[in-house]
Amino acid sequence: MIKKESNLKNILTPLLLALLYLFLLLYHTDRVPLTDDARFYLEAGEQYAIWFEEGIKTGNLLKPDFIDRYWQTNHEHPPFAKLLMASGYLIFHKWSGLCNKILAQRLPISLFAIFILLFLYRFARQAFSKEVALFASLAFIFLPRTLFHARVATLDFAVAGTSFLFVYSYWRGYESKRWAWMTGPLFGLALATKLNAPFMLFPVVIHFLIVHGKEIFRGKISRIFIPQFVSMLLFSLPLFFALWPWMWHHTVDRFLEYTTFHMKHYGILMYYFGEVYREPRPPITAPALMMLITTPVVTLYAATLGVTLYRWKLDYKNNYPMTLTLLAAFISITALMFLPAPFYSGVKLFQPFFPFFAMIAGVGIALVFNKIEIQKSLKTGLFLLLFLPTFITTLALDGAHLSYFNDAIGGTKGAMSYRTERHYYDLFYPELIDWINRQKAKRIRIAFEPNGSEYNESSRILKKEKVLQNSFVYSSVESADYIVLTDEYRWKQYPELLRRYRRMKPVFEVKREGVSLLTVYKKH
Amino acid sequence: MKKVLLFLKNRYHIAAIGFLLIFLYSLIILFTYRFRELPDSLPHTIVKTIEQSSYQGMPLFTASQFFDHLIKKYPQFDIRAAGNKPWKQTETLHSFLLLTLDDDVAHFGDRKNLTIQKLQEDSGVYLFLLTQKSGKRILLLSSMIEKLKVSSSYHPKGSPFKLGVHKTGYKSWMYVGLLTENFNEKMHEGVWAHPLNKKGTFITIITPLMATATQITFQSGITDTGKCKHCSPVIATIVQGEHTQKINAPEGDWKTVPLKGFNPKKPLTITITTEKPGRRHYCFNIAYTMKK
Repeated sequence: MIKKESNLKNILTPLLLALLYLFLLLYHTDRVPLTDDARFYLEAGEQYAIWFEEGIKTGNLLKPDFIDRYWQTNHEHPPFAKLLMASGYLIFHKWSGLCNKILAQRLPISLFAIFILLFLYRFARQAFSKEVALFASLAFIFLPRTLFHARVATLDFAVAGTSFLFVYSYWRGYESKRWAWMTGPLFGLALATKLNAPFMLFPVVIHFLIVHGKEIFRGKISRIFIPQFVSMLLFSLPLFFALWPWMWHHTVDRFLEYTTFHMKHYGILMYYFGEVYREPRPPITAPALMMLITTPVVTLYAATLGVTLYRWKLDYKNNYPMTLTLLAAFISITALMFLPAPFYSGVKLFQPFFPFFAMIAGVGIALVFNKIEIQKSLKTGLFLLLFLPTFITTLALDGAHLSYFNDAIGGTKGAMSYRTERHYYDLFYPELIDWINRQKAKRIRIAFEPNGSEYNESSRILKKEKVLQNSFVYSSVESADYIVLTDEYRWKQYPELLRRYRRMKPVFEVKREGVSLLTVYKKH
Repeated sequence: MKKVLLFLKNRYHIAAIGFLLIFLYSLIILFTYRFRELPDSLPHTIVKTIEQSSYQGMPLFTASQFFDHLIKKYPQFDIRAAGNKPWKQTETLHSFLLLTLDDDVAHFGDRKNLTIQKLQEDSGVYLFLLTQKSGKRILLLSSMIEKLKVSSSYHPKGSPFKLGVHKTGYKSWMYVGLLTENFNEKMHEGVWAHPLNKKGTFITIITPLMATATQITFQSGITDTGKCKHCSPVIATIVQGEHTQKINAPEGDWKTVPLKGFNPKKPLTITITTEKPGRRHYCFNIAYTMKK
């Protein structure tokens, strides 16, 4: 049964955790590089905000032509995360003028991350104990790659968050009618975030069979109509369509277009242990191995303890929370292992895995914590110290958290020595922007290799927001004054370019952990 | 002792020791590895050895990506990046230098016909020379790209040499430069010379004087990516004074042809042509056997 406590300590701990996460999310927020897909989502967020504002003013909000004008943008992805960004655009940029469009649209994702952290605390607190809640929250906060996704205006963190909320609500629904009925709308919200949300149905259904399987196999078929499932049947799809004005007319055609687009997604290159993959895609073990080398070792160890030391026999007492958590983690990563989905050089596409994994890690730490017989305050201090190395590494990476690799592989350097991509996502680094802005020339023509076009699009956004000075001109290699060579082996031409450009003068370099991420060469 | 044994009897205590060890390991990695800069230069003795005249023009392969940043530092050497599987690129080479971080030449030395010689060892960096057992010293034209004289229909007075390649036209693939590619699923190093995009166009390449060369062979082929049944053949016409030889490139394969009657020391004029230039991913190379 769920324990109810409401003393000051129980409010203070999550509050302090939220403040710590807020600090990490906002610390040097201007050092977070721009991703190559930001242009789609930032544009979409702005368009949806204008649709809302103009639509209310003119009364055209529901008119098909008016909807299409604004919702045409990035209609291949569902709207929830972009609606968050749209709210940021209006609140932090347009109405208050507090920050530029980029930061304004990133902030709601970060605030949503705090919200998810608090729910994670709540889930762990209700399912296990306050110690599990504390350590699960810390394990979640100190996931450097997840931290990156929680700081940029993209969909990956949002789908992790909405998937987590859905699973929590389903589990909580066994004790609370209100949450049971919330399950449907929350699943609808997850569906309206990204296409990988439906995979969360599998852990929920398997968990349901574990809880009610015996009754159902004895013929009590009516047990399947638990309020959570009824709510999902009634509310999920209607909410999905309700949140997405693009689907409000030509619904069938557009829904089919949405699903078929993702069935035929173009391949993504991945450099993985000395091999460049697109077709055939990387080995099926790749998502699991990428997770193993990009999650802090302490968290991996704690999760292993969580699974092995947990008293599984008692899991039934609280409606099998550990079983559900483990299933949710397992399925969110295996879905990517076995599906012909595109793959990136990181853990971007299975972010829903991480909140559940952090919960399991929290269980592992708390189990040990509770059995050690030393003074509690000293014990707490020592266990908090476990996260210190990751905390320092996180700060030192200074925004480039996609270059985080754990100690088992030897950090960014180790990943490089094992011939694994040290960064991806065509990141436009703030250091590079600063270097460009320091150049005094009236026009500074810069070419990007080996994959230039993405930087052209990103530079337009940065110039529009006056982050990048107007003297910057995106240029072809032939007419450039400088060439930026990003160190990415997935591009076949990279090794030869590195060799070819050796006679030019390197004038600037972006490095993390002593490893080069890009070099600027002066051409003439 | 009894207390220690009692302590260790509890599996949670052992798990706690695991946490302690991970914490210490992370701290050590943090301060001794993560924050440490990579060495920004090669040991002096290694540099001196590579600079010896007998190794000039020889590609320098590296066994670790840690050497990648030295490509910028030593532009005078032909250092090859260590990413992907660089040993595959050496499978068809006659001789090359290798830098490693340990005494093991790993995949590079897998070929049975190679002699492996350790040339130098300093400060944890090892330099090896790997040569074919035949004992011949062979230099490839592809390692002398800068020394080629190139002209084309778009640049009849001479192609500009920019960023390590001779530009033969206005598109990104119109150049003469080094390329390592698969030919019949085997990697070969060659000189990329894709015929230009219109019928009747040409690329002409004049090779440098090779004063100590004793023998030459011509190698060419269309890469596996350009393999095509109905495409036009690519013809290399090699001229030296009165001697002329025409060589058709095989589709998705690599062919070696001896250049009989040609003086190996003197420059050759090679003209690349084709009837229809679509998908003609053509490369060639010249292997010079050098006097010992």
